Amino acid sequence: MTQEKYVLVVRNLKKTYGNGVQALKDVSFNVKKGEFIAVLGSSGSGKSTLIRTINQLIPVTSGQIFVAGNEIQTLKGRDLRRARRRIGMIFQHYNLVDRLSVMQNVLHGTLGGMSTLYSVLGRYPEERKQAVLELLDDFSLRDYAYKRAGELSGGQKQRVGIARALMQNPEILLCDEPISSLDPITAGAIMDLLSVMAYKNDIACIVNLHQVNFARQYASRIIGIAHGEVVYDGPAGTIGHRDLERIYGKQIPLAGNMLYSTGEAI
Amino acid sequence: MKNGTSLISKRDRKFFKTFFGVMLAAFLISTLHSQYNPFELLLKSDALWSFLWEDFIPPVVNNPLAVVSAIAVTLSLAVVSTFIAMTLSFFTAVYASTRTAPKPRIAKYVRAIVTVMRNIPALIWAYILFSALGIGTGVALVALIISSFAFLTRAFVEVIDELPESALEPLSACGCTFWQKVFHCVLPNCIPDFLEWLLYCVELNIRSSTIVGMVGGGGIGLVLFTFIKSFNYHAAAGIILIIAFMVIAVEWIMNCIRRKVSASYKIIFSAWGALCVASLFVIDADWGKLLSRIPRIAVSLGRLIIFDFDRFPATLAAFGESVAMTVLATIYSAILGLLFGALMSRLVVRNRLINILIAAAISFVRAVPSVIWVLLVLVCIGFGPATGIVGLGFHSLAFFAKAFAQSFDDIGSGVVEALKATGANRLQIFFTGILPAVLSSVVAWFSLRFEVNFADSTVLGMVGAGGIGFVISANIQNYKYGRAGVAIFLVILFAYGVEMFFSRIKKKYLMNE
Repeated sequence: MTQEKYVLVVRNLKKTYGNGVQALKDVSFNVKKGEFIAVLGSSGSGKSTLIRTINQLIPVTSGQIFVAGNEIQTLKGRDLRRARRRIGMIFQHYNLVDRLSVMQNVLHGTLGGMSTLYSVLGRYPEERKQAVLELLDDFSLRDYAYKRAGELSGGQKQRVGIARALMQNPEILLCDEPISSLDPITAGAIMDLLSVMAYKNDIACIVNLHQVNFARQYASRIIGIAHGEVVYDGPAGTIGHRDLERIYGKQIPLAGNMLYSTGEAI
Repeated sequence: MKNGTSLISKRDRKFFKTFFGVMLAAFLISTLHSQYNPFELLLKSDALWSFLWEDFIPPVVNNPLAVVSAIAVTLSLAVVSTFIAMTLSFFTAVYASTRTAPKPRIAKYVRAIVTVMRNIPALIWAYILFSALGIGTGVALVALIISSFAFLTRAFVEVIDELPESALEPLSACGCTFWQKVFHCVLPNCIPDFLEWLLYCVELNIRSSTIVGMVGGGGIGLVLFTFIKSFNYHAAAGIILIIAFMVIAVEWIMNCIRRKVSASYKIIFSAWGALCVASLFVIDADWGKLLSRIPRIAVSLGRLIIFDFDRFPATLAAFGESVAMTVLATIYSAILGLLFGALMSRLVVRNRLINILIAAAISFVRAVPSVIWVLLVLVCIGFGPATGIVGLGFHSLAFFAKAFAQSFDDIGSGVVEALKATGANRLQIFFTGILPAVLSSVVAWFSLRFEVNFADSTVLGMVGAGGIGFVISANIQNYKYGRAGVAIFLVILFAYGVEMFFSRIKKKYLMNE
């Protein structure tokens, strides 16, 4: 019942890797439709694992994940792929096929709904192709449609990555450090684009970030993770010094700076 | 891709049209010419299996001591020939590279001569040399030196060409002489890449020395050939296993050296030099006689150049046969190689057991030289184009599988993860993500192997499997050098044309990636 209000419900999630590392120890949270959440945590805290368990790129050890009512960790094969279609994903290193055109890369977002034979032959439906061109127009990438992805700049590549995810018409967007490989100006532009697109299409966003100022600026809610546990879950606006110390550990003298440099950095 | 909005740029579309158009045309023409039907082999597979089971298994090794000494000869040939060729190649390469050549005009001619030499396979060199020097391990050594000299010179020239101008400028600025520049800048900068090519050359020469041995050069190849010719297949199977083991062991040692390359180059090269001196005793040729006969090579080459176009149509037909065999063997094995490469790659098939089993089978097939596979197929299914195609294709398949699996693994899990996240299935991920990502390396491997297969197909005739190799060896044996010269010229011309085609394709469409 409670699940209908939320697009994503995570309950008692645990993940222990084969080498014995406990990446996630009992993580629970709910995500409302259209919510923009930043996940903070130092390297190795379990952020990446968390985001990858949501679309089951990494299988969980125990716990439940409900995506739009479906218990995704129980799904296999075709059902799992169908569930993944509703969850877009964006990567730090963009993960595009450099050799293919921007057009082809964005069309990869529609693979989930296509017959295998047609997609192998590259026979995408005409209206999908038109939709891609329109999207590229919005992203001011129209002139690059036939360029190879490998020829683009970092910011352009990430915009292609976002376009690919949006072609899935997702309800949830998982972003794994989308701006960590970009300069601050480009990073701001990418965060602007993400939040506008998420707002316009009512997509819930879960964004792993290393930049506290960006988290405070763009997210409505922050989840802080340390050593595989949620140590903060609350509004982005009221996150304080103490909370950051809990997320990043006491030895971080810059916690204050991270908090107050908001906005001015860009 | 025909209907409506295009997906790719005009440049890419032109690439696909040219490359696959040419491949398809070559495939159809070759199939018509050779009348090869791949399903024929499947129909005959019963006979093939029973032949293998009854005549080859179990393998036996009759005289271990003789085998060990034969292996020592084969290994020594490879070690010594690479070492001598390396020295000659280095001094030639600094004169032939546009980066360093003191006289660019001469550099051009040097490169042209090397290109011609490179396109004559080691076995053909052996035949040319037999007529001048007689038969024996010494001749095999000279043949290997010549073919690896050509191979290494080209490799070294490419390495030196990539040296940035900025590396040489300071030495020119302080007034260094040519040789000072070579030894204080070119050599230290290029030696890691040189070593990489040298190790590869040793691996190649192990296989080549086995093959050259078969036609009279001695060593393990001769032992094998004797067993096959006397229908002693159990003993032949034993030798084949030993050859496979030898090649795998050498590859393993080379990989160890590669990993420890940071050790001193001085140690590696001194150890190698010492090994060479020891090897000279193992090879045990009549060095005085050999050296005194070296000038005769010039006479032999001279006789080849006086072309004799008698029976040219027959030569041309045999040449066509070799080309058709090469085309079909390469295309079939590349397609199957994609399949097996995918099965070997952890990135594509996430099943450790399948990965390892396929990889083990593939490295065994790869370890046995392709000419030996052809011989085996020959004794199994008899003469005909199918023999050459299947025999060549077998080794080529193993080569492609390993190369493609490496390319698949090299692209990393990023793209696969991204496509998985879109809800794509395994086939979609493979065909729309992984395959396009490795396209240029697939084309590069394909062109490399096409050249190798052509060289192999030209030597098939020498062991009795038809094609241009038969024309060359038969004419040399009957002292018709002019006719052999025409055939060799055709081989060089075609090999050069193929090289030009692929390098144009690569330059035009696949650069800047």
